[in-house]
Amino acid sequence: MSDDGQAVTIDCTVLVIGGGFGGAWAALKAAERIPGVVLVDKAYVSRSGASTMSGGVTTAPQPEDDLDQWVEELSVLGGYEADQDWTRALITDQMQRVADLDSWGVPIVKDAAGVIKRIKSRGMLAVRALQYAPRLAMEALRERADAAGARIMDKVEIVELLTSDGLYPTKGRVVGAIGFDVRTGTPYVIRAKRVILATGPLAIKGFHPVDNDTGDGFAMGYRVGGRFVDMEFATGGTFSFVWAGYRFSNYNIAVGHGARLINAAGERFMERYDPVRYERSELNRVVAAFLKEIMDGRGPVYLDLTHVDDDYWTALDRALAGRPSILKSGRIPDPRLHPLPIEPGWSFWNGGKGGLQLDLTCHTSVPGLMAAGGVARNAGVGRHGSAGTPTAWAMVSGARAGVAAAEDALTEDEPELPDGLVDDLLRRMLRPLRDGDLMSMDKLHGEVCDIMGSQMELMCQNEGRIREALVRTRALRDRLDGLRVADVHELVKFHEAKNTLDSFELIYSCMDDRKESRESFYREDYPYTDDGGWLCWHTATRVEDGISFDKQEIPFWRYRFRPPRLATYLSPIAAIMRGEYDPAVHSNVSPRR
Amino acid sequence: MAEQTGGTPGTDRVRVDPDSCNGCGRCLQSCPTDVFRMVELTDRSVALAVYPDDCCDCNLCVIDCPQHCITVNLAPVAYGFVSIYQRMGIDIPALPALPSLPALPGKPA
Repeated sequence: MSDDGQAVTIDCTVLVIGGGFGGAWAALKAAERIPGVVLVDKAYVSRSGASTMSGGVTTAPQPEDDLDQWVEELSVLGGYEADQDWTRALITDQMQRVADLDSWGVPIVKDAAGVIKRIKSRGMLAVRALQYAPRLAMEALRERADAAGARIMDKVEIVELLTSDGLYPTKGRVVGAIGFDVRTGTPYVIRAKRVILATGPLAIKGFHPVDNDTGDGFAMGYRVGGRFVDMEFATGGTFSFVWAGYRFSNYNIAVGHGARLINAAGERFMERYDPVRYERSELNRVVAAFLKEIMDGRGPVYLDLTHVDDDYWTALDRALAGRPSILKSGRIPDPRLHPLPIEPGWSFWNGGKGGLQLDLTCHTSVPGLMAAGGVARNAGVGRHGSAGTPTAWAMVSGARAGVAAAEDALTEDEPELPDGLVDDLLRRMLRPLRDGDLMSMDKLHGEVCDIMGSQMELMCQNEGRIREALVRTRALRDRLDGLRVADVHELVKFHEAKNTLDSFELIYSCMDDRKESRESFYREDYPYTDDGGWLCWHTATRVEDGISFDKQEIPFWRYRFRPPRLATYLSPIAAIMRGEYDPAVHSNVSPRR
Repeated sequence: MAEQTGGTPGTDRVRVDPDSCNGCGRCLQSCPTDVFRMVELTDRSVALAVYPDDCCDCNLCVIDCPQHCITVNLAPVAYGFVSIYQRMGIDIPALPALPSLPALPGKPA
């Protein structure tokens, strides 16, 4: 508590929640325009979340590129689900974001002539990415946001948005947020004219190293009634090394330098599944393919780094910027000599594939509430998420949100709060410190994790699994009201678990509503991709008596790139699992010019 | 505090060498999951990993520590992860002996 035991009240113009690329760019751009900008993070801005830990690759358009070709490739690879106005904005703005990082001295890999070196990334033929040091980019951003006058509040966990009518979902607008200091428990009430949610994607605690991306923004946005798009795509493939169980998060860079995947017989098995792109295929298909290899008796599967060029090892260092890599730890056999056995995984990690729906100035459907980064649907690429597009999206949407929020705040009235709302929310926020049955929050997060089942079960959904997950999610959510926590540190994890459960409710409900399979989302009971029925923006909004779903029409009539036909076919993962993968049908490579 | 929550201060998972720690508190700032707290010794304050079980292997504390006195043991994914190979009864070929070779190019890990 503060010295007098009261909550600290702060009035600001723009409140940015979350200090990764989305939030830090938003705070910088807003603070360059108006005073009174506050950036709050539950950890420490530049040492928090997915941006700092990201793989060191971001999309790198240059003025000489044919941007039409880029828009086309991103639209096609995103299954034509991109908002093509956003795709163009994403690429155009990203040129400036890259130029900014470069001018600040953020390390970017360059050639001998000092020109930014660009790599092909998985799934891409025209689109290029660069390699840089994300942690140092975050440090530079923090420094600049601070110099521009943004007030940075580290180690404050935001737990709920404030609404002008006190209703959840609101019929009014968002006017601030409440939270608490993660060490002292001092409550904060922050009133704001505009709130930007930039809390990143959802990961599950225990799947390192982004344990603090617990879906806080999904949950808060869901509770106030924000409109989400395509949340059923919030799971995806990943892999880890068998020997030590370590997750390998720099696949992009490895593939860019010649890494291969082979099976027990030494076959470069991706030839069977995607003979055009091989290891550069969508990561979800790669993981499904090697799961299939294992099930068909051709496992174990190996990541073969024996062919990578020498530049790979220095590129890896640069991306990790001092963080250790298991590859160089000496705890596994020398990766230059031995292919490394790998383990398929499937987990919650949306990477912008599903999230809050944003217009071109990053407003959500709820007045007063904006968003940026992984908490929002990456409108520029739809379902696709490679070539550094998640970080490009975070930087671009963050900067746009900051500019628009500052402009909005100039003409917005002072926020007004309904009587009693703050007291009520504060009481509920701190309640677990006072009463209930004591429970370890690690145990609680273990139970949350159990809901999603095994990797295989999470990848292969069906009505029974989805409904059971929903029942278990709601039952555990109901139990939270009766739990007590040991200390303030545990209170943080309590609210994180609550937010993950609310994210689950939203995601599993969206899975239940989509009666088809599409790219990373696979339902055994609806294995076909049905463009006529489901090539749309599938939205979900919390309303008083549940969730309201909609299928928004994608405005192809005014887009440059349109699907050649609306087809119905076995989804790529369904096809991989059934051994019926057909490159002619499933390789959605953009037409070469 | 930590005993109640299942944490075990002072385990090898995250370790601050108390002799080298200068009490600057950088690790308290760096850690995304807030593992560290300052504790009073008789003559000075040092950092201690009070919530080591919350470590998420990001190694930001290791990078940021000016005294280079923090060690983090990389650890496998948590929460009952079961290997598909184990579930399907597939043997992984034995780990070849770690050969002693020149260091990999680039900065050593």
